[in-house]
Formats: sequence, C-alpha cells, structure tokens
Amino acid sequence: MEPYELPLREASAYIRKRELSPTELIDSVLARIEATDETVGAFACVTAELARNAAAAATREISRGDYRGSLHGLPLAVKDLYDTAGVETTCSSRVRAGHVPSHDAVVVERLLQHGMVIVGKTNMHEFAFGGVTPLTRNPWNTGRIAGGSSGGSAAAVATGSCLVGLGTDTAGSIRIPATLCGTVGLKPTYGRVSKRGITPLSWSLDHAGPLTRHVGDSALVLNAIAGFDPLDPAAVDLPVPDYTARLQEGLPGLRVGVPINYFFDRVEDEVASAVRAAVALLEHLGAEVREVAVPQAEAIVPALRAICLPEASAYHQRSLRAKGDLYTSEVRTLLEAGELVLATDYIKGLRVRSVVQQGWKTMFDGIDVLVTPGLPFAAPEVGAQDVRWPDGFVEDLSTGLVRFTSVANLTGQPVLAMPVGRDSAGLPVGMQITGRPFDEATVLRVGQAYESAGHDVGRLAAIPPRDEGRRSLPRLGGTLTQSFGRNES
Amino acid sequence: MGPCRRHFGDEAVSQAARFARLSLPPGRRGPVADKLEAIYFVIDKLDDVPLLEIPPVTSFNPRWDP
Repeated sequence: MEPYELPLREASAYIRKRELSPTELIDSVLARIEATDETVGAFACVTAELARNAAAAATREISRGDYRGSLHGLPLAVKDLYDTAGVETTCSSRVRAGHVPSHDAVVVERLLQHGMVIVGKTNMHEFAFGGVTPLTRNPWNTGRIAGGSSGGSAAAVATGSCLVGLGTDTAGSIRIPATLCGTVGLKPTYGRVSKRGITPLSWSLDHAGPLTRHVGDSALVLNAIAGFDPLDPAAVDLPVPDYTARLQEGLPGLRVGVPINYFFDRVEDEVASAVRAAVALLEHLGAEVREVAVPQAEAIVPALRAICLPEASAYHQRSLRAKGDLYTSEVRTLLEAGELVLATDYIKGLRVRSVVQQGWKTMFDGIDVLVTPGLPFAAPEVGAQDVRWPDGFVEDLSTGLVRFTSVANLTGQPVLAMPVGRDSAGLPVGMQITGRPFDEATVLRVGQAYESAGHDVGRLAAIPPRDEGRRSLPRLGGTLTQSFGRNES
Repeated sequence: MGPCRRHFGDEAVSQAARFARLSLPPGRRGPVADKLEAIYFVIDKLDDVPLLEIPPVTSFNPRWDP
C-alpha cells in the first residue's frame, strides 16, 4: 500500500509513532496528483514546493517531539474560494485571475495551526454558482460529472490526492460532489464554522465544511475548524464539543426519520433502494425508524432561488459591470438576471424561509435525525442539461442537483452526506443524515455507525492511465503558483 | 397574487436593466430574459405559501462590540 492510500487515522497514527514522516506522505500524495490530475482535473493549482517545505517542517517538529495532534502532517486540498496567503485564489474565474490574498481564511488558518499541509487549490464551479465543476471529472467514471460546486475537493479526496478537502455549501455544494464522488461531506450548522476569508456566493445560505474519506475524519476536522469568530457576523457563540467523543456510542434509542413525501419522488430506483437498505441497517443497529411528512416541500427550491440569486448579484454588482466579459456566459447570465429580481420577491423568500424553518423544527419533534437520498440520481454524463424521468417529466439538471440538498441551507441544519452503495454502472450513490441545529455530534454518530457496519465507505477510485502527451481536460487560464511547471493554456 | 406567469421580452428586460444601471447589449437581452422567466417560474411558486404575519429571516446584531 502506498502512503497516499492510507486512511486518515492510519496515516495519522503512523506519523505520531514516527513510522511514517509527513515528507514521505506528502511526496506520495504529490506523485498521486501528478499521475492522475491530467485525467481528473481536481486541482486549479498544485502547491508542490510549498507542500514539500511544510512537510519537511512538520517532519522536523515531530522528530523533536512537537506533535500537534491528529492532523499534523496530513495533506489538505483547499477549494479555490478560500483565501490562502501567497497562493493564487481564483474562484475558478477569469475575473479573479492573478488574485493572491495576503491572509488565510480562518478555516485554513486553523487547519495550518493543527499542522496540515496544503497540497493545492481545487477547481470549483465559477464563484460556486452551479453544481457541476466543469473542469473536473468524476474519478469513478471520467465521462461523468464530479458535481459541484466543490467538485475538485471531492474528486481529490476520492482519488487519494489529499486526505481532507475543503468545500463550501450554499445549496448543496459540499454534499452534491461528495455524493457523486463517493466521499463523506459535512455541512455543519450555519454559524458553526467561520466563513471569514471565503468568497461568498450567498451570505445567508453559505456554509463551510470538509470532505473526507471517512466519517471520523470529518469529526476530527470539525474539531479543528469549529468555533466562534467575532469578526464573522454569521458566527454563533456556542461551546464546541469534542466531535469524536460520541462517535462509537451506537444507535440504541435513536429516532431516525424517513420522509414519506418529496425525498423519494422522482428518484432512480437504485438510489432509493440503496438508501432504504441503509435505513434498514440503521434499524438493525438499534435505531427506531419513524415515518415523517416533509412540510412545505414545494417551497424549498423556490425559496432558495429567491434568496440566493439576489444575494449573489449584490455581491458581484460592481465586478459584473467592470469585468462582465470575464465571467462565463452561464454565471454572467445568472448574475444579470439576479439583478432584476424584485426586492419584494427576495423578502418573500426570506419569509418563506421562516415558514420552512418552523416546519422542520416541528417535524424534528419526534426524531433525532432525518435520513434521505443525497441526490435523486448517480453522476450524470458530462454535458447533460436535464434528467428525463419515467413519468415523462424532464427536470433541469441544475434543479435536480439541489432538490434534496437545498432545504438544509434554508434551515441551517447540519447534514452529513456519505456513500451507501453503487449503482449497476459502478457509480456511487449516497444518503444524507440531517440533524438538529448544532447537533453535528449525533449526525456524525449515525454516520459512524453506518460506516462501521457497512462496507462502502472510504474506497479510492482507480484512475485510468492518462494518455501521455495529451491534456485530457481544458484548464482555466492564468498564472499558477508553485505548480508542477505545467504550461497552462 | 395574480395567477399569470411573468413574461420578459427584450424591451422589458432592457428597461429593467436600465433601471438597475446594468448595461445589457442587445445580444445579452434574450438569454437574460429567458433566464429571468425561468427564475420567476420557480420563485412564483412561493405565492402558494400563506405568509400572514410571518416576518422574514434576518440577522441583525445591534451590539456595537462583537
């Protein structure tokens, strides 16, 4: 087994015992990136030299007994909208080409304090405004999308090109690519993790969180990044528990809600079967399963759109006028249209958000978590614009991608996305475990119980060999910092 | 609210964009009009939710110190 293949906890244990050095691990990961990223396209920028220097520093620290904890010396991939001091941060947009922040985002800063080593910045949907990530391919089948907007981070985790990827989630952008790429993705409660230093898409809907191979890895990362930030107006000042403490407590007495409406409407049979099998496993492990009705289901996506679009357009208002030609046509059109949504309709969206939040609070009266499919389908083909359902309904892909994920952005509740199997084409399918606000510990406990009893979590994709001498994927133009010396076009 | 679906022709979008101080060249008006119609086709489903006296979700902290 190569070091890049080690699960996080094993790599961490070897490093703690000095049986593996951060230098050896990072060298292995960088070699994995070099071997696969022409095909997968997870990275906008590989910070190889910086990573080797940081790994060498970590190796020296650990050698002299200055071990910082379970994340020390482990490889981190950062979505390209998190500010990284001295490293170009483009948001996968020509609008931000050449932008080099002077400070790290708070989340990045906290992970660096824990000794993690950044191996690169990952591709995303431009400014996080979409669910596809055009420059990235699904590691399980490169003819399929990785999902987005944090598609590069998910693909990097699934490939073995990092042990932790950072994502953001406004309508599902951590959970969508996690589900399609077969990784774990955690969207913490709104306000649990600081967003300072992260380029916003929609201030009131954005969340920051990790993508990992295993559930316990996300708990470790959340321990490092959660906590009040007085300079983030969305941050909430509540005590942060040890998210690893209750991981192994099991499920007896836990009430698992399963929706009788909405979340199993227009879902691929193989996805529905896999999620229902996962629920049956949770019941077998001691959970009590209760059916629940999802309130205001038809208002979820409309409210999300009514809020997200004007907020995004407000953020980009000046840039859209100054550099409109530099946006992709898709995002430019969305931003221009968002400028023309009436303020009264935006506020209507915020009022409906209140109704949805109250409805979900009531629905959770009798349950501790809600288990649903992560997405209605496995990874669509690259270039697909819509999904045709057996009843003849044609669903716009952008809606299908967020149909099950966006409600948690309205309510702010914590959600864990994780794989529950494969479809007949070998593509990952996943479930979401949604908890009460600030109860990430229970969500993670349920995920850990499933992972411990299941068999489809933590797998790495076998990437087909690249066609030597031919670049497989288009690349964003611009200067890359500390790259492998690629001549980007 | 009225039951009718909103339509945005080139001229309507052009006027709205002018009001928003947004320059929309002729070639962009059609795509923006199509997108705006699609957006409002979704957003207008919010009319079905009875809101009565429900206030919006807002976050405003009147404290001067964080």
